Amino acid sequence: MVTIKAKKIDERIAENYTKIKIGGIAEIIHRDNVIRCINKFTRYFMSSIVVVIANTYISCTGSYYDTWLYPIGHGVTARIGTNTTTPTTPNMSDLVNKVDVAPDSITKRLIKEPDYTLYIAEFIFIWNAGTLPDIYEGATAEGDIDGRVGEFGVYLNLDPDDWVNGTLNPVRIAHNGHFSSVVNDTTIRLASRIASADDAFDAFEFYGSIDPLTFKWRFQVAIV
Amino acid sequence: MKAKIDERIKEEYEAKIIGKFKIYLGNKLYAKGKNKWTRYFVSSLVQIVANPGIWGRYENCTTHLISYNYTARAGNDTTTPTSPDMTDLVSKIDIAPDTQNIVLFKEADYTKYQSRHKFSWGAGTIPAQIIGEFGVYLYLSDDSWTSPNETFPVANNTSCPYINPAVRLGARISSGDGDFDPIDYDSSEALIFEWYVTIKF
Repeated sequence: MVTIKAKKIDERIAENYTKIKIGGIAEIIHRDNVIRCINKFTRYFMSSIVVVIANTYISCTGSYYDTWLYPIGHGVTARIGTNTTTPTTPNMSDLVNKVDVAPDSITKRLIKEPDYTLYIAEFIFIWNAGTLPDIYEGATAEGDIDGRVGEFGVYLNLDPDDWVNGTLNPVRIAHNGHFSSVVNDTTIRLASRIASADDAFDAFEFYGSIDPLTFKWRFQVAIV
Repeated sequence: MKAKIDERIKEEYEAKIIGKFKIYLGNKLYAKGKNKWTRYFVSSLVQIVANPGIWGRYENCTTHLISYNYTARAGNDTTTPTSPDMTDLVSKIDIAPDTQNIVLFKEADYTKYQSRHKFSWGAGTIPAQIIGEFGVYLYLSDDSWTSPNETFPVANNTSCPYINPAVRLGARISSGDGDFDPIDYDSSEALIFEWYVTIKF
Protein backbone atom coordinates (compact mmCIF):
# COMPACT_ATOMS: atom_id res chain seq x y z
CA MET A 1 0.00 0.00 0.00
CA VAL A 2 1.28 3.44 -0.88
CA THR A 3 0.66 6.21 1.64
CA ILE A 4 0.34 9.69 0.23
CA LYS A 5 1.04 12.49 2.63
CA ALA A 6 -1.17 15.54 2.59
CA LYS A 7 0.29 18.31 0.51
CA LYS A 8 2.32 20.69 2.58
CA ILE A 9 0.37 23.81 3.33
CA ASP A 10 2.12 27.02 2.41
CA GLU A 11 1.13 29.70 4.91
CA ARG A 12 2.71 33.14 4.75
CA ILE A 13 1.67 36.26 6.50
CA ALA A 14 3.26 39.51 5.45
CA GLU A 15 2.11 42.25 7.80
CA ASN A 16 1.76 45.38 5.67
CA TYR A 17 -1.79 46.50 4.87
CA THR A 18 -3.17 43.21 6.18
CA LYS A 19 -5.03 44.52 9.22
CA ILE A 20 -7.68 47.10 9.70
CA LYS A 21 -7.50 48.43 13.22
CA ILE A 22 -10.57 49.97 14.79
CA GLY A 23 -10.56 52.35 17.71
CA GLY A 24 -12.99 54.59 19.52
CA ILE A 25 -11.27 57.62 21.01
CA ALA A 26 -13.11 59.94 23.40
CA GLU A 27 -12.36 63.48 24.44
CA ILE A 28 -14.37 64.93 27.31
CA ILE A 29 -14.17 68.64 28.10
CA HIS A 30 -15.69 70.18 31.22
CA ARG A 31 -14.53 73.49 32.65
CA ASP A 32 -10.74 73.50 32.23
CA ASN A 33 -10.46 69.73 32.24
CA VAL A 34 -9.71 67.72 29.12
CA ILE A 35 -9.94 63.93 29.33
CA ARG A 36 -8.68 61.80 26.46
CA CYS A 37 -9.37 58.10 26.65
CA ILE A 38 -10.41 55.00 24.76
CA ASN A 39 -13.84 53.39 24.61
CA LYS A 40 -15.09 49.81 24.75
CA PHE A 41 -17.23 48.59 21.85
CA THR A 42 -20.38 46.53 22.22
CA ARG A 43 -21.29 43.42 20.29
CA TYR A 44 -24.10 45.28 18.55
CA PHE A 45 -21.63 47.58 16.85
CA MET A 46 -19.17 44.84 15.90
CA SER A 47 -21.99 42.62 14.66
CA SER A 48 -23.31 45.51 12.57
CA ILE A 49 -19.96 45.97 10.86
CA VAL A 50 -19.77 42.36 9.76
CA VAL A 51 -23.44 42.52 8.73
CA VAL A 52 -22.96 45.54 6.46
CA ILE A 53 -19.93 43.85 4.90
CA ALA A 54 -21.93 40.70 4.15
CA ASN A 55 -25.21 42.36 3.18
CA THR A 56 -26.01 42.45 -0.52
CA TYR A 57 -29.18 44.34 -1.34
CA ILE A 58 -32.91 44.47 -0.83
CA SER A 59 -35.66 45.77 -3.06
CA CYS A 60 -38.93 47.10 -1.79
CA THR A 61 -42.09 45.27 -2.66
CA GLY A 62 -43.99 48.31 -3.81
CA SER A 63 -43.05 51.23 -5.98
CA TYR A 64 -42.05 53.98 -3.59
CA TYR A 65 -40.68 57.18 -4.95
CA ASP A 66 -39.54 58.83 -1.72
CA THR A 67 -37.31 56.76 0.49
CA TRP A 68 -35.33 57.16 3.69
CA LEU A 69 -32.16 55.17 4.14
CA TYR A 70 -30.89 54.69 7.68
CA PRO A 71 -27.12 54.06 7.82
CA ILE A 72 -25.42 53.21 11.11
CA GLY A 73 -25.12 56.92 11.91
CA HIS A 74 -28.87 57.46 11.68
CA GLY A 75 -30.23 58.74 14.99
CA VAL A 76 -26.79 58.99 16.57
CA THR A 77 -26.83 60.38 20.08
CA ALA A 78 -24.94 60.18 23.37
CA ARG A 79 -25.73 60.08 27.06
CA ILE A 80 -23.80 60.41 30.27
CA GLY A 81 -24.31 58.18 33.30
CA THR A 82 -23.37 58.01 36.95
CA ASN A 83 -22.21 54.42 37.35
CA THR A 84 -18.63 54.19 38.60
CA THR A 85 -18.26 50.50 39.43
CA THR A 86 -19.48 48.33 36.54
CA PRO A 87 -16.92 47.41 33.89
CA THR A 88 -18.07 47.31 30.28
CA THR A 89 -18.96 43.97 28.71
CA PRO A 90 -19.56 43.26 25.00
CA ASN A 91 -23.25 42.52 25.50
CA MET A 92 -24.02 45.68 27.46
CA SER A 93 -27.09 47.23 25.86
CA ASP A 94 -27.25 50.52 27.74
CA LEU A 95 -25.45 52.66 30.28
CA VAL A 96 -25.84 51.38 33.83
CA ASN A 97 -27.14 54.61 35.39
CA LYS A 98 -28.11 56.72 32.42
CA VAL A 99 -28.93 60.40 32.76
CA ASP A 100 -31.46 60.48 29.94
CA VAL A 101 -30.85 63.99 28.66
CA ALA A 102 -29.96 64.42 24.99
CA PRO A 103 -27.15 66.70 23.83
CA ASP A 104 -28.18 70.13 22.55
CA SER A 105 -26.07 69.74 19.45
CA ILE A 106 -24.46 66.91 17.51
CA THR A 107 -21.99 67.52 14.70
CA LYS A 108 -20.46 64.87 12.49
CA ARG A 109 -17.66 64.84 10.00
CA LEU A 110 -15.43 62.52 8.04
CA ILE A 111 -11.65 62.88 8.07
CA LYS A 112 -8.94 60.97 6.20
CA GLU A 113 -5.19 61.02 5.84
CA PRO A 114 -3.72 61.79 2.41
CA ASP A 115 -1.95 58.43 2.27
CA TYR A 116 -5.28 56.58 2.63
CA THR A 117 -4.24 54.64 5.73
CA LEU A 118 -6.46 56.38 8.31
CA TYR A 119 -10.17 57.19 8.11
CA ILE A 120 -12.15 58.83 10.91
CA ALA A 121 -15.83 59.40 11.61
CA GLU A 122 -15.99 62.13 14.23
CA PHE A 123 -19.01 62.99 16.38
CA ILE A 124 -19.14 65.97 18.74
CA PHE A 125 -21.92 66.07 21.35
CA ILE A 126 -22.45 69.26 23.33
CA TRP A 127 -24.72 69.80 26.32
CA ASN A 128 -25.10 73.53 26.90
CA ALA A 129 -24.94 75.04 30.37
CA GLY A 130 -28.34 74.51 31.94
CA THR A 131 -29.17 71.34 30.05
CA LEU A 132 -27.76 68.66 32.36
CA PRO A 133 -28.54 68.51 36.08
CA ASP A 134 -25.98 69.14 38.79
CA ILE A 135 -24.30 65.84 39.68
CA TYR A 136 -22.33 65.72 42.93
CA GLU A 137 -21.82 63.58 46.01
CA GLY A 138 -24.52 64.08 48.63
CA ALA A 139 -26.91 65.99 46.38
CA THR A 140 -30.37 66.31 47.85
CA ALA A 141 -31.85 69.27 46.01
CA GLU A 142 -34.71 68.57 43.63
CA GLY A 143 -33.42 67.73 40.17
CA ASP A 144 -29.84 67.25 41.30
CA ILE A 145 -28.25 63.79 41.18
CA ASP A 146 -26.25 62.25 44.00
CA GLY A 147 -23.04 60.84 42.56
CA ARG A 148 -20.48 61.62 39.89
CA VAL A 149 -20.29 61.41 36.13
CA GLY A 150 -18.81 57.96 35.59
CA GLU A 151 -19.81 56.78 32.14
CA PHE A 152 -20.49 58.01 28.61
CA GLY A 153 -22.30 56.13 25.86
CA VAL A 154 -22.61 56.57 22.10
CA TYR A 155 -25.78 55.19 20.51
CA LEU A 156 -26.07 54.26 16.83
CA ASN A 157 -28.51 52.50 14.50
CA LEU A 158 -27.29 48.94 15.06
CA ASP A 159 -28.20 45.37 14.30
CA PRO A 160 -29.79 43.49 17.23
CA ASP A 161 -27.24 40.69 16.72
CA ASP A 162 -29.99 38.07 16.82
CA TRP A 163 -28.83 36.23 13.70
CA VAL A 164 -27.93 32.57 13.93
CA ASN A 165 -24.33 31.40 13.66
CA GLY A 166 -23.84 29.99 10.16
CA THR A 167 -26.44 32.18 8.45
CA LEU A 168 -26.16 31.66 4.67
CA ASN A 169 -26.41 34.61 2.27
CA PRO A 170 -27.64 37.06 4.91
CA VAL A 171 -29.98 39.93 4.12
CA ARG A 172 -29.99 41.84 7.36
CA ILE A 173 -31.66 44.94 5.99
CA ALA A 174 -34.82 46.28 7.60
CA HIS A 175 -37.27 47.54 5.04
CA ASN A 176 -40.75 48.91 5.33
CA GLY A 177 -42.25 50.98 2.58
CA HIS A 178 -40.58 54.33 2.63
CA PHE A 179 -37.53 53.46 4.69
CA SER A 180 -34.78 50.91 4.76
CA SER A 181 -32.00 50.37 7.26
CA VAL A 182 -28.52 48.99 6.58
CA VAL A 183 -29.01 46.60 9.52
CA ASN A 184 -31.99 44.52 10.56
CA ASP A 185 -33.61 47.11 12.79
CA THR A 186 -34.15 50.82 13.15
CA THR A 187 -33.50 51.05 16.86
CA ILE A 188 -30.52 52.90 18.27
CA ARG A 189 -28.37 50.79 20.57
CA LEU A 190 -25.28 51.28 22.70
CA ALA A 191 -22.26 51.10 20.40
CA SER A 192 -19.53 52.40 22.65
CA ARG A 193 -19.09 52.97 26.37
CA ILE A 194 -16.44 55.02 28.12
CA ALA A 195 -16.45 54.11 31.79
CA SER A 196 -14.56 55.13 34.88
CA ALA A 197 -15.06 51.54 36.03
CA ASP A 198 -12.81 50.52 33.12
CA ASP A 199 -10.31 53.15 34.29
CA ALA A 200 -10.91 55.18 31.16
CA PHE A 201 -11.17 58.31 33.33
CA ASP A 202 -11.74 59.42 36.91
CA ALA A 203 -15.39 60.01 37.73
CA PHE A 204 -16.08 63.70 38.30
CA GLU A 205 -18.68 65.99 39.81
CA PHE A 206 -20.38 68.18 37.28
CA TYR A 207 -22.57 71.25 37.64
CA GLY A 208 -24.74 71.16 34.57
CA SER A 209 -26.76 74.16 35.66
CA ILE A 210 -23.78 76.41 35.03
CA ASP A 211 -21.30 74.40 32.93
CA PRO A 212 -21.43 73.03 29.38
CA LEU A 213 -20.12 69.57 28.61
CA THR A 214 -18.43 68.52 25.38
CA PHE A 215 -17.99 64.88 24.44
CA LYS A 216 -16.09 64.10 21.25
CA TRP A 217 -16.03 60.54 19.92
CA ARG A 218 -13.86 59.44 17.04
CA PHE A 219 -14.43 56.12 15.31
CA GLN A 220 -11.12 55.59 13.55
CA VAL A 221 -10.20 52.93 11.08
CA ALA A 222 -6.60 52.40 10.03
CA ILE A 223 -5.04 50.12 7.45
CA VAL A 224 -1.78 48.85 8.92
CA MET B 1 -6.47 79.20 32.41
CA LYS B 2 -4.36 76.27 31.37
CA ALA B 3 -6.36 73.12 30.68
CA LYS B 4 -5.78 70.11 32.89
CA ILE B 5 -5.31 67.20 30.55
CA ASP B 6 -5.89 63.63 31.64
CA GLU B 7 -4.79 61.39 28.80
CA ARG B 8 -5.16 57.63 29.14
CA ILE B 9 -4.65 56.24 25.68
CA LYS B 10 -2.06 53.49 25.72
CA GLU B 11 -3.25 51.84 22.53
CA GLU B 12 -5.62 53.71 20.23
CA TYR B 13 -7.09 50.62 18.66
CA GLU B 14 -9.28 48.19 20.51
CA ALA B 15 -10.56 46.02 17.69
CA LYS B 16 -9.27 44.74 14.40
CA ILE B 17 -10.57 43.46 11.11
CA ILE B 18 -8.48 40.80 9.44
CA GLY B 19 -9.04 39.43 5.95
CA LYS B 20 -7.80 35.88 5.50
CA PHE B 21 -7.92 33.56 2.54
CA LYS B 22 -7.70 29.89 1.67
CA ILE B 23 -7.02 28.58 -1.82
CA TYR B 24 -8.01 25.02 -2.69
CA LEU B 25 -7.14 23.04 -5.81
CA GLY B 26 -9.89 20.48 -5.89
CA ASN B 27 -10.23 19.40 -2.27
CA LYS B 28 -6.59 20.08 -1.45
CA LEU B 29 -5.65 23.20 0.50
CA TYR B 30 -2.93 24.94 -1.50
CA ALA B 31 -2.29 28.09 0.52
CA LYS B 32 -3.69 30.30 3.23
CA GLY B 33 -2.79 33.66 4.67
CA LYS B 34 -3.92 37.28 4.99
CA ASN B 35 -5.14 39.64 2.32
CA LYS B 36 -4.19 43.27 1.71
CA TRP B 37 -6.90 45.92 1.95
CA THR B 38 -7.77 48.78 -0.37
CA ARG B 39 -8.79 52.26 0.66
CA TYR B 40 -12.20 51.84 -0.94
CA PHE B 41 -13.15 49.27 1.66
CA VAL B 42 -12.25 51.36 4.73
CA SER B 43 -13.62 54.54 3.20
CA SER B 44 -16.99 52.84 2.73
CA LEU B 45 -17.01 51.61 6.32
CA VAL B 46 -16.53 55.03 7.90
CA GLN B 47 -19.12 56.58 5.61
CA ILE B 48 -21.71 54.00 6.71
CA VAL B 49 -20.94 54.78 10.35
CA ALA B 50 -20.93 58.56 10.02
CA ASN B 51 -23.77 59.03 7.58
CA PRO B 52 -26.86 60.15 9.48
CA GLY B 53 -29.44 59.23 6.86
CA ILE B 54 -30.50 59.84 3.35
CA TRP B 55 -33.76 61.19 2.08
CA GLY B 56 -33.91 60.42 -1.57
CA ARG B 57 -36.18 60.04 -4.50
CA TYR B 58 -35.35 56.54 -5.57
CA GLU B 59 -37.89 55.10 -7.93
CA ASN B 60 -36.71 51.55 -7.49
CA CYS B 61 -36.37 51.80 -3.75
CA THR B 62 -33.49 49.34 -3.62
CA THR B 63 -30.88 49.38 -0.87
CA HIS B 64 -27.38 48.35 -1.90
CA LEU B 65 -24.67 47.40 0.58
CA ILE B 66 -21.09 46.22 0.52
CA SER B 67 -21.66 42.74 -0.88
CA TYR B 68 -24.05 43.88 -3.61
CA ASN B 69 -22.87 42.19 -6.84
CA TYR B 70 -19.83 40.81 -4.99
CA THR B 71 -17.47 38.67 -6.97
CA ALA B 72 -13.85 37.53 -7.24
CA ARG B 73 -11.29 37.15 -9.96
CA ALA B 74 -7.96 35.42 -10.35
CA GLY B 75 -5.06 37.11 -12.13
CA ASN B 76 -1.69 36.35 -13.67
CA ASP B 77 0.55 38.96 -12.06
CA THR B 78 3.31 37.53 -9.88
CA THR B 79 5.50 40.57 -9.19
CA THR B 80 3.43 43.62 -8.19
CA PRO B 81 2.94 44.31 -4.46
CA THR B 82 -0.45 45.59 -3.30
CA SER B 83 -1.02 49.22 -2.29
CA PRO B 84 -4.14 50.69 -0.65
CA ASP B 85 -5.06 52.69 -3.75
CA MET B 86 -4.95 49.74 -6.14
CA THR B 87 -8.18 49.74 -8.15
CA ASP B 88 -7.99 46.38 -9.86
CA LEU B 89 -5.89 43.27 -10.25
CA VAL B 90 -2.78 43.88 -12.33
CA SER B 91 -3.46 41.16 -14.89
CA LYS B 92 -7.02 40.06 -14.34
CA ILE B 93 -8.44 36.83 -15.75
CA ASP B 94 -11.94 38.16 -16.27
CA ILE B 95 -13.84 34.93 -15.65
CA ALA B 96 -16.49 34.96 -12.94
CA PRO B 97 -16.78 32.13 -10.41
CA ASP B 98 -19.32 29.43 -11.22
CA THR B 99 -20.72 29.48 -7.70
CA GLN B 100 -20.41 31.77 -4.70
CA ASN B 101 -22.02 32.32 -1.33
CA ILE B 102 -21.66 34.21 1.95
CA VAL B 103 -21.93 32.81 5.47
CA LEU B 104 -21.91 34.69 8.78
CA PHE B 105 -20.32 33.26 11.93
CA LYS B 106 -19.95 34.48 15.50
CA GLU B 107 -18.47 33.31 18.75
CA ALA B 108 -20.77 32.56 21.65
CA ASP B 109 -19.05 35.16 23.85
CA TYR B 110 -19.68 37.93 21.26
CA THR B 111 -16.01 38.87 20.89
CA LYS B 112 -15.50 37.61 17.35
CA TYR B 113 -17.64 38.03 14.23
CA GLN B 114 -16.81 36.60 10.84
CA SER B 115 -18.09 36.49 7.28
CA ARG B 116 -16.94 34.00 4.67
CA HIS B 117 -17.24 34.71 0.96
CA LYS B 118 -16.66 31.49 -0.97
CA PHE B 119 -15.96 31.45 -4.72
CA SER B 120 -15.61 28.32 -6.85
CA TRP B 121 -14.48 27.93 -10.44
CA GLY B 122 -15.21 24.42 -11.67
CA ALA B 123 -12.62 22.34 -13.50
CA GLY B 124 -12.23 23.76 -17.00
CA THR B 125 -13.75 27.16 -16.26
CA ILE B 126 -10.40 28.93 -16.12
CA PRO B 127 -7.99 27.71 -18.81
CA ALA B 128 -4.57 26.43 -17.80
CA GLN B 129 -2.21 29.26 -16.91
CA ILE B 130 -0.15 30.78 -14.10
CA ILE B 131 -2.25 32.34 -11.33
CA GLY B 132 -0.45 34.84 -9.13
CA GLU B 133 -3.18 37.03 -7.64
CA PHE B 134 -6.79 36.99 -6.45
CA GLY B 135 -9.12 39.93 -5.91
CA VAL B 136 -12.36 40.29 -3.98
CA TYR B 137 -14.68 42.85 -5.55
CA LEU B 138 -17.33 44.53 -3.44
CA TYR B 139 -19.78 47.40 -3.83
CA LEU B 140 -17.60 50.23 -2.53
CA SER B 141 -17.23 53.98 -2.54
CA ASP B 142 -14.69 55.62 -4.85
CA ASP B 143 -13.33 57.50 -1.81
CA SER B 144 -13.60 60.78 -3.71
CA TRP B 145 -14.85 62.84 -0.74
CA THR B 146 -12.61 65.61 0.51
CA SER B 147 -11.37 65.79 4.09
CA PRO B 148 -12.76 67.05 6.39
CA ASN B 149 -16.29 66.51 5.17
CA GLU B 150 -19.58 67.34 6.87
CA THR B 151 -21.96 67.00 3.96
CA PHE B 152 -22.12 63.20 3.71
CA PRO B 153 -22.61 62.81 0.00
CA VAL B 154 -24.46 59.69 -1.02
CA ALA B 155 -25.16 57.67 -4.08
CA ASN B 156 -27.55 58.95 -6.69
CA ASN B 157 -30.41 56.86 -7.99
CA THR B 158 -29.75 53.98 -5.63
CA SER B 159 -30.11 53.87 -1.91
CA CYS B 160 -26.52 53.44 -0.77
CA PRO B 161 -24.89 55.19 2.20
CA TYR B 162 -21.63 56.19 0.54
CA ILE B 163 -20.50 58.26 -2.39
CA ASN B 164 -20.18 56.94 -5.94
CA PRO B 165 -20.56 53.25 -5.22
CA ALA B 166 -19.56 50.64 -7.77
CA VAL B 167 -18.07 47.17 -7.75
CA ARG B 168 -14.44 47.80 -6.83
CA LEU B 169 -11.42 45.93 -5.55
CA GLY B 170 -11.78 45.55 -1.79
CA ALA B 171 -9.03 43.05 -1.03
CA ARG B 172 -6.12 41.52 -2.93
CA ILE B 173 -4.04 38.40 -2.34
CA SER B 174 -0.90 38.24 -4.43
CA SER B 175 2.26 36.33 -4.96
CA GLY B 176 3.77 39.75 -5.63
CA ASP B 177 3.41 40.32 -1.89
CA GLY B 178 4.72 36.84 -1.13
CA ASP B 179 1.28 35.70 0.01
CA PHE B 180 1.57 32.43 -1.93
CA ASP B 181 3.64 30.83 -4.66
CA PRO B 182 2.17 31.30 -8.14
CA ILE B 183 -0.10 28.43 -9.09
CA ASP B 184 0.69 26.54 -12.27
CA TYR B 185 -3.00 25.85 -12.80
CA ASP B 186 -3.76 23.05 -15.25
CA SER B 187 -7.56 23.49 -15.20
CA SER B 188 -8.18 19.85 -14.35
CA GLU B 189 -9.47 20.58 -10.85
CA ALA B 190 -11.82 23.09 -9.33
CA LEU B 191 -10.26 26.31 -8.06
CA ILE B 192 -11.81 27.40 -4.76
CA PHE B 193 -11.08 30.69 -3.09
CA GLU B 194 -12.43 31.43 0.39
CA TRP B 195 -12.19 34.91 1.87
CA TYR B 196 -12.80 35.43 5.57
CA VAL B 197 -13.37 38.80 7.24
CA THR B 198 -12.93 38.52 10.99
CA ILE B 199 -13.68 41.22 13.55
CA LYS B 200 -12.16 40.65 16.96
CA PHE B 201 -12.49 42.91 19.95
